[in-house]
Amino acid sequence: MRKRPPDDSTHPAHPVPPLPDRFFDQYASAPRVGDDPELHDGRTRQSPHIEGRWPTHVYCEWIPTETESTSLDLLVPPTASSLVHSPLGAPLPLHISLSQSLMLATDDRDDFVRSVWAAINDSLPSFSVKFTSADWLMNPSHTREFYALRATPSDQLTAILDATNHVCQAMSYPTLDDATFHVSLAWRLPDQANSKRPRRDDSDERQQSVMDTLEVNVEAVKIKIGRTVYRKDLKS
Amino acid sequence: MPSIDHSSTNKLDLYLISEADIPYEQDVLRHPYTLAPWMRYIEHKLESPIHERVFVFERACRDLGRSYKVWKMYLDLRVKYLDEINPAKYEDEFVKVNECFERALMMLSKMPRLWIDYLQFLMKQCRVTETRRAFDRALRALPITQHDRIWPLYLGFAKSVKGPTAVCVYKRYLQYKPQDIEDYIDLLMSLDYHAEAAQQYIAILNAPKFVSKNGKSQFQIWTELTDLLVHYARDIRDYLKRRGAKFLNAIDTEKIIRSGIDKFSDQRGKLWVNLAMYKISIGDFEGSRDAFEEGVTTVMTVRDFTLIFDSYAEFEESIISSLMEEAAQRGGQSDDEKDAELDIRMMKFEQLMDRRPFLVNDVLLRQNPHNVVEWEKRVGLWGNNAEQIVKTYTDAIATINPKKAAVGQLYKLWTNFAKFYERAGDLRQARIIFERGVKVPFKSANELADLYIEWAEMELRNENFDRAVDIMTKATNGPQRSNIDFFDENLSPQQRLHKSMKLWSFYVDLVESVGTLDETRKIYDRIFELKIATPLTIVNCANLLEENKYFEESFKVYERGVELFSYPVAFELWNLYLTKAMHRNLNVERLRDLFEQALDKCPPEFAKSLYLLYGELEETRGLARNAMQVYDRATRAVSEKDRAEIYRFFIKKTAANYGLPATRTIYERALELLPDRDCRELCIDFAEMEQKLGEIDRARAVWVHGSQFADPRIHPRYWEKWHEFEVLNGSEETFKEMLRIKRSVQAQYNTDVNFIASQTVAKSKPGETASQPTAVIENSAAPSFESSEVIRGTENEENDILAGGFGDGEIVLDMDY
Repeated sequence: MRKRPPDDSTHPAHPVPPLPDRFFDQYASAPRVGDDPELHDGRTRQSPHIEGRWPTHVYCEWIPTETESTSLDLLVPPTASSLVHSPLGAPLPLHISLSQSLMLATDDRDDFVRSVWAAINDSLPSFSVKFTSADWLMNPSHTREFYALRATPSDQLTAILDATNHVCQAMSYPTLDDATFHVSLAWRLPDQANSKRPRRDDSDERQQSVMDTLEVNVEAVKIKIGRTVYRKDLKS
Repeated sequence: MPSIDHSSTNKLDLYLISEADIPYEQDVLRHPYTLAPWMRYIEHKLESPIHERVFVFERACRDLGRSYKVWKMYLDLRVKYLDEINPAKYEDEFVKVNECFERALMMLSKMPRLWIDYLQFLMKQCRVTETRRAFDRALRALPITQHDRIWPLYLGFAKSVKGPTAVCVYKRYLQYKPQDIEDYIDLLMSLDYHAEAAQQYIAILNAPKFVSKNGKSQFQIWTELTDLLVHYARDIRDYLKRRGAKFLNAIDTEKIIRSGIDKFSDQRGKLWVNLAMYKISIGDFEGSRDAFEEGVTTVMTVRDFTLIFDSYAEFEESIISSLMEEAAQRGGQSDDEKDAELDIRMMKFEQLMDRRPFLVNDVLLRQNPHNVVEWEKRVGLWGNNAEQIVKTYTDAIATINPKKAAVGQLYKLWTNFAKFYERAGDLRQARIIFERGVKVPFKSANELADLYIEWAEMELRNENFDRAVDIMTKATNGPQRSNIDFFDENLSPQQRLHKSMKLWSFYVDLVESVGTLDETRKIYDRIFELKIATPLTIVNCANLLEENKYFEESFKVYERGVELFSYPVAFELWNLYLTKAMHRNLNVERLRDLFEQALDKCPPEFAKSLYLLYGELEETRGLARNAMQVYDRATRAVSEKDRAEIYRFFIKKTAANYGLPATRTIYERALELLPDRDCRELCIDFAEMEQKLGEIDRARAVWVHGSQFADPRIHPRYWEKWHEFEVLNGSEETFKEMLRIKRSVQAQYNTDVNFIASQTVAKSKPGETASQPTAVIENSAAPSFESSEVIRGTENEENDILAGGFGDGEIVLDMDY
């Protein structure tokens, strides 16, 4: 078996910079392999793949640091599938949704991005988000349930959401009306839900204390269309 | 020098009229306005002194003021008279003639010849303004169609005069002939009027319909312009300054060169250097640095880059050396400001040199941003600068389009990026990189497979065996029933990945070393299910099962293998399978079935070893009779080249089992079927066998039969053997018969193509000296005589009997038969 410890003699373990935020804009999702749930850990696509329709999503990204990841791992319910780490142990970027999953027509893509960027005030400063509680939320089509951290509503989040909704309305795409800003940490299929319903209350307090330490700095708004990510940096 | 006075025209200078002139005088008095008498008079005076002739001409011209003929003759006379006179010294004389011309032209202003004479005459004198004015008057007086007779003179005059006059003249000329503008530019250049020349260049470059009369291309003209602008930058600037603020921007050199950089992409290196040189020559050193910088950071080829960079370095060096000279001149006195400047320059120069590899790398990446190898080099250039390494990798990933990454392998870039974090002990980020990397639509599915393998290997290096297995499980995950073709380039590599044998092999190896047998078997099953197994997979799987004592299972795998693969691949599998099965001492019937199955579709070239194995089985565990049958079958089934060997083997086995006589039929069949070459050898065996059995006649018959395949010169061995046989068993008769046959066979081969072929072979044999064809014949003929010699020597007791038979005549006789 090939087993070779990393060559420490020539390269002493010196602190390395974290991956730049830009890195996470590349290859945000894999190329299509098909809609077969078998290939997606049993998940069913909310909106099936249609040629000429581009799955689109407006969001603020949160790339947790190592300590944050560890804290978040504590919050993830043991039975659910984590969104904090991939099944292969790689930490995943998290996000606060600021739109529904839209299916943009090919010709609308550029307009959409341009309009959203225009609608967001250029002088909007970067901001931080804190969390109040954690709870299960059902997705609109009742196919999946998400364990999410509720974010404290802030003016900036509302401003961006309003901007997005405004553009969606103008281009007659569905808006996101239920304004509960949240970060999903885990998911499960609804049929798994009832089995573990009674939650251990003793952990609530610890969860709360973990939650209090978390704070997300939002420095950019991103739009993902298909596999391309567009970003607008907020004023620092 | 006689003076000629025109002013005293009123009083007749009667003393100039001699006796001989009187008739002519009377004649002209009678017909004063007629040409003929005057002409006669002029002719009459041809030999007279100049003043007398002038006197006649003057009067003639007065009477015949519009006669070109008279004027021309008169003026020619006057001009000729002053031909070798210095115009400066005797200016008065020249002025008189000038006046004469003026008078003539007053009447005959349409005569180009007179103008030309006048102008040529004027050009001899030091009267620039008057000459110029005369030229102008000539041009005014003459119709434009005759200007081409004046201009060459005028231009010649302009060139000799030089200065603003020349420029003015040329300017007028261009109105007449605009296509000669290049001559004008040449003139301006020769007069050092660089700014005007530049303006003229700009004018012709801006004229869309301009065609160079010298056949210069627009680019050539443009290059000349830039050379001019760069070389005489200071001149031009000063000139423009003199002309006033309004003209300061009339020639924007920078703009011109930049437009060229945009337009002539193959000349960029030179043009950037030009721009920088221009800035240097107008003293704008910072500007020239900017130009150099912009040049090295925008050019697309290494050639251009080198050109600019070398000039850049040279420029900086010369600045530094001049600063150092200054410092030396200052001597002991220190000037903080100057010293600081020198230090800064030195530092910048060093920095520039350090930047060179990066800049070259930039050029190559501008050329092809998808060049993975160059990106890797760039990472290498940063050495231990972690910040920049991460940035470079991120840039590379953002820039490279996986479909266009033709140079180098993109997966390696991802792997090295992850390894960079791994080495720093940050597995978490390394994992993030891999997690992203496997989402890249690589050009080939193999790259994706390699990336997964690298990921798993990283986990292995860090002793996370379960995670490595998880990674491979994820990588090999695919639909239960997959119709996907691994080599279908229309699908994304992610879609085809689960058919990658490379990935599966790694997975199997991994699980074999860290997992249980059952897990491994499941993976093998899945490989077979996906129909991507290779013969090696089959063998590996079978070996694994065998090692774990699952013999029957292992045989099943072989069964599966031989089902999946047809010959020739299946041959190796059958070979292994049968060998292993025989070792296991399976039921003979079952083994027989297996052999029959294996031989069923076996092509002849592979049949030999299977038959031998089968025969061995029958001999050791079955019946000898069966074994013989198998060999018998083998003689028919194997390919031509193996046949002789099989026959020999068969004969050997038969002899061992049933005794020598039983082999006869086999020999006979073999001789029928085998090619000549093999027959010869077989005949030797056959004959020796018969000899052993004491069947001399049969043996001889075999020798005779075999002899037709053995050319005595090429295969002496056959004949030696037969010779030995005859010596031992034959008589004189039979010996003679043998020799006769030998000669006839040799004769037969002589005419045969084989002989010629064999000769060539003999010739080309290494080590043998190249010999003449006749020598070869002699050499090859020699053995027959030698052998007869041997016979004489060794068989002394039979000498008497045999001696008679060796006469030359007899040989000839025999040859005749």
